[in-house]
Parts: sequence; structure tokens; C-alpha cells
Amino acid sequence: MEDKNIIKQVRQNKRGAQKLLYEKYKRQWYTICLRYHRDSHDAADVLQNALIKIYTKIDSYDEKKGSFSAWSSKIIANESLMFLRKRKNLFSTDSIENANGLSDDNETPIDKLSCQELTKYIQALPIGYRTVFNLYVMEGYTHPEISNLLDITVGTSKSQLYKARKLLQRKIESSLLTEMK
Amino acid sequence: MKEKRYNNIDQLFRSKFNDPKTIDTDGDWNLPPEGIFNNAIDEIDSKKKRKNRVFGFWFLGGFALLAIVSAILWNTTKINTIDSEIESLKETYTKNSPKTLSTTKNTITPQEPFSSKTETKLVKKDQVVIAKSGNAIATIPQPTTSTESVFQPTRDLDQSEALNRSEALIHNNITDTPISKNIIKYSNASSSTILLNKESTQQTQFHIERLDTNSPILSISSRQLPTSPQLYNSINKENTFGKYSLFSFVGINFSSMEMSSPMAMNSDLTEYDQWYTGYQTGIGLQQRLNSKWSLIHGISYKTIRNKSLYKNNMAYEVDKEVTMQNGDRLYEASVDLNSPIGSYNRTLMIPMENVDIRNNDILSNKTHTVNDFYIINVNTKIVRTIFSTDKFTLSISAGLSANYILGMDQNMETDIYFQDKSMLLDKFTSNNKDQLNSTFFSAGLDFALEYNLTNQIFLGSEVGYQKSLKSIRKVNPTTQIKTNISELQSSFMIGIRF
Repeated sequence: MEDKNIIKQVRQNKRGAQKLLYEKYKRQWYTICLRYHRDSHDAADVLQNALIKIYTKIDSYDEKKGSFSAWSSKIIANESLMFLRKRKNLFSTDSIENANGLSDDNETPIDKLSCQELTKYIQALPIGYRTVFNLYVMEGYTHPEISNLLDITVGTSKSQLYKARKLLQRKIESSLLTEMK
Repeated sequence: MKEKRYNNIDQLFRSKFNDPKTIDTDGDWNLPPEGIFNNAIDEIDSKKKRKNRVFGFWFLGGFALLAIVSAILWNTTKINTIDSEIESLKETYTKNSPKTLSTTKNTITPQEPFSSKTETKLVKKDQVVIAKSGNAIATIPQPTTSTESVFQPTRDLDQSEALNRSEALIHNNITDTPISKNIIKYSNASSSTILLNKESTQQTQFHIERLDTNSPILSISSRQLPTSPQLYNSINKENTFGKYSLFSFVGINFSSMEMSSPMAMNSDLTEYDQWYTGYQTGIGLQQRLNSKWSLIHGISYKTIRNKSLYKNNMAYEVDKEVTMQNGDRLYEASVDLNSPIGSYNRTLMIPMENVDIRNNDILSNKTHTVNDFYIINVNTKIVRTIFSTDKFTLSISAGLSANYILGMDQNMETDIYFQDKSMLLDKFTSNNKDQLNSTFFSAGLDFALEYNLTNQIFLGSEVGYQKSLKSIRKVNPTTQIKTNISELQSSFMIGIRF
């Protein structure tokens, strides 16, 4: 069934259509949550809250302005941000030393890196790096927009992105080297 | 250069994550846990129910407010008419009294259906009786002596007359002319007033009019209205009736509580369910300073409720391994669980057959708490009357209150997970009661609407907002909790004036 028809029925509050929509997008949505949250339990909580918003705000979705996938992804990302904002010291509590997940284990060549592995690398980033990286690279926000969203300076946004990329680059290069050996 | 250098990384991530096929076929790692959909649907349903309840409450509140406002407007129209008539009567009296007081004679000649039987009576020295109907006596305080004339009905009265009074006592110094002539003189006019009698505490309105110019029948009508203390006192200056009122109230409060405390490491308050409903009841004493200002001193008992969700991670330290009598082997450890008022310690028993817990493994817990705080509130308010009639009084008040927290009742529901939350290790509920014995202060603003059932008894409703001032509670010698409480209150009250 096409999104259009499912959404029409979701708007009529039909439980079957809600379930169908969830089944169709649940992996995509949960993947976004996992990119923002290292803790899978947090990711599940965010997904649940976002799901409530998707169902209750679906009347505001305008198919002329974009795909449902993009609209719902934005809600998931926003919900993740709201969740993160509740946490204190988004950019100070998590230091670079906490990026344990970037240690060299289970390395694979770049072209074989799976979404799961990439997600693990993102999750292993300190929370500030991770959030800015997700917003800039995955959601397409600009630095001024990110600075507004997270209440940080543009310079901080840029430096967080730079550091995130640097860590990820190091990890990927390390993976490639191991593979060549 | 930096941007270019990392373009490949950006591209790599975008290409992987923007490909739905890759995401949907890439193993089970990105399958959300079971139950999310059902939980979300349940939450939506419960929110709808809550919304309906709140809507219903506000609908009833709005309806009640509308009814009260309508009643005020309806009564105001009537009262204004009466008020203007009082003024008119006072003027008449003031103009005429100097000469009438000394020259008054009982020369009234009543018309049908009243007899000509008259009776002269000395009236109290400090009062002039204008009219009397049943037990209601009309007076205007004025030092004088005067006479009264009593008329008896000579026949059965028709319905409208019977509804009024069969006995009338008219004082003739209203106009200095016999009442019959007066009627002719004011053929279509009505002479009416609000008359006070402290004992009966009623208002009586008299209409003295000529119904038909060809048949000048005296018609005296009256109606009984509750007299407000304000009105009574405005006429009888010396009287102090109604200076105090004692009232009791019961109502609900919507409270929002936010609490912060130095919690254990890695603990995180993740959610408050704000604006939860509690109740309140209490008594108050109002002291009227003058017609506009008064003071209220009150004491009340109330409950404030909040719900919160705490999550924390804890490093598990193997205290000991225990072998039960039946041979089961358990890990035993004590864990600290957080709540808005501090930490609780609980012993955790985990069957060893299911998990292999190493020292310093990270466990996590998710704790839902419902906290009921029991509070004694002592308050003082200054009240300004905005609007007052004989039926209604609308006032605004501002004040300060001291809130003494007697104790709290906390219901906790805790899930403890192993490491990545993949395994539920323990799930339990617990009830904790604490005596807090701490105080916080708050400031508030209230609107109150009173309705006089009689001149002594009144009903009322009150809505108000209260916010806590600086509030730091010491739970124990080392833990302080900062609390921010906002309350929307709504009460119904009943009281008596004396």
C-alpha cells in the first residue's frame, strides 16, 4: 500500500494503518534514534515519544512539501534533540576520552562498512560531536542553524563537527589499514 | 580544505543511511524493541482521556462562570434601579423632613381596600419609619420623632395585592401630604426603597402608586431580598454587623513541581508529568477593614502530587553470592535508587543462572515515582473588593503563605536492567513514607466571588495562582533539594458573617 493511502487512514485514526506505517518505517526511525543516542534504551524512549507525535501531528503533514519519510525523520531528529537538551552539559560532560567505541576492533574496509558499524562509530562519538555531526551531515542543517538549535556558537558547531569527522576519519583509515595487512 | 578532506566521510554516511534498502536489510540491530508501538498507542489514548477530563473540567468551570456573570448582570440591573430609588427617597426625606417633623399630623385618608382605621404611634427617637410591611420596617437613621398610620384591608385582596401585604403602615412625612393626595400627586410614580431591618435582615420594596386616575386605589407591594452587610452598614453607619466572616473551603489544585537535587553519579531526571491534580481544604477568617479592604487569615491542608521518571546507571559491585536453601544461587548487591527527595537503598537479588555479572558491570534502572506531598498552609491575604451588590461580591486578594511539608508518600516502580538493557533483572514496586518537616514560602493572587444566601450565610468560589518563593529543603545533613512549585487553585466555600 502506498504511503498516501496509509496516511489517509492514519488520519482517520485507524489502528491497522498506524501499525502498518510503523512496520514500514520502524527501522529507519530507530536507526536515526540510535545515531543520536548511544544508549539503546534512550533510543527506544525517543522513538516512542516521536511515534506519538507522528500520529498526533500527522494532519500537519503536507505531501506537497516533501515525502513522508523526510517529514517523519525530521520529527524523530527533533525529538532526539529535545531529549538531549534535557540532559545537562551537552557539550562539556563527555570528553574525547569517552570515545571508547573508536578503539580498533572489528575493523572492515570502507566499502564494506555496514550501517550498523557506522552507527556504532557515531554512537561512540562524544555526545556533542555526535549531535552536531548528525545535524550537519545527516539532517542537512547549516552551522548557524545548529548554533540556534543547540544554543551554541557557530564556532563551537564547526569545531565539534571537525572533531567528529577527525575521529571518524581516524577510525575508517585504521579499518582500511588493518584490511590491507 | 578541511571541508573537502572530509567530503568523502560525509558522503559515506549519507549514502549508507539514506538508502532504505540498506537500512531495512542490514540485520536485526536496528529493529526497535517490542512494545513501542503499543505503548505509543496506549499513551495517545490516555492523553485523549486526560484531555477530555481537563476539557470537561474547564467546560464546567466556564459554564459556572457564565452563569455567575449572567446572574450578576441580571441582578445588577435590578439593584441599580433600587439604588437609584433609595437615593431619590433620601433626597425627598432630606428636603421635607425639617418642616414635616414638627408639623406632622395623622391626616392620612386611605382608599379602598384599606380601612380608615388609624393608629398613632411614637417611633424611636433616632429613626424615622417610612413604611412597614409585615415584620419588615423601613428606616432611615435620622434623629426625629414621628407618627405612623396603620391601614387594615377592608376586603379580600386580589392576587397581586395578596402577594404583597395585607397590612401597610405608611408614614406621612414622606411628602408632607396625606397619602391619598400624595398618590394623586404622583399618579404614575412609584415610591420605592430598600428598607433595612437588622433582625429580619430583609429588604422590602414598596410601590405606592395610583393604579387608575379615576379609581385611586392604594397599592402597596413589597418584595423580600437578602440584605448585604455592606448595604446595611452603608445606611446604618453605626452598625458593625458583618465585620467578620468565617468560612471553610474545599477545592482542587493543579500543581507543577520541579525538583533538583544532587543525585548519585550518572543519574538523570528525564521526565516530569507536570500539572498534576491534588486537593485542598481549610478555613479562613476575614476581617473587614472598610467597605473596600479586608484581611484574610487562613489555614489549610493540601496535597500536591507530582510524577517523575528517573534513570540512572550504576556500577555493580558484587557484594556476595548467596546460596539459598533450595539450592538457587543468587548475586546479592545493594543499589541506590533515586527519587525527588533523595536516594533509597535496596538489596538486589539476581539469579545467577541467567546472567554472568562481573564486578563493576554497569546496570541501569528506570524508576517511575509518584510523590504525594502533604502540606499545612498558613496564609495572610489583603483583599480588595472590586464589585459588590446585595447579592454578589467580587474581590481580588494577594498574600503570602508559609507551607509546612508534613510528609510525603512515594510510590516507586523500578525496572533494573543488565548492561545494554537487553535483560530485565528485577522489577519491583515500593512505597516510602517520609516525614519531611520542612517549610517553604509562596506568594499568590486570588479572585473570589461570593454569593449571599442570606445576610449572614454566603457561598463562594475562588480561583488563584501560587508560586513558591525561594525553596531549598534539607532532606538530610548532606542533601538539599531545590523545589519550584506552581499551583493553580480552585475552591468552593461556604461562610458565615457576624
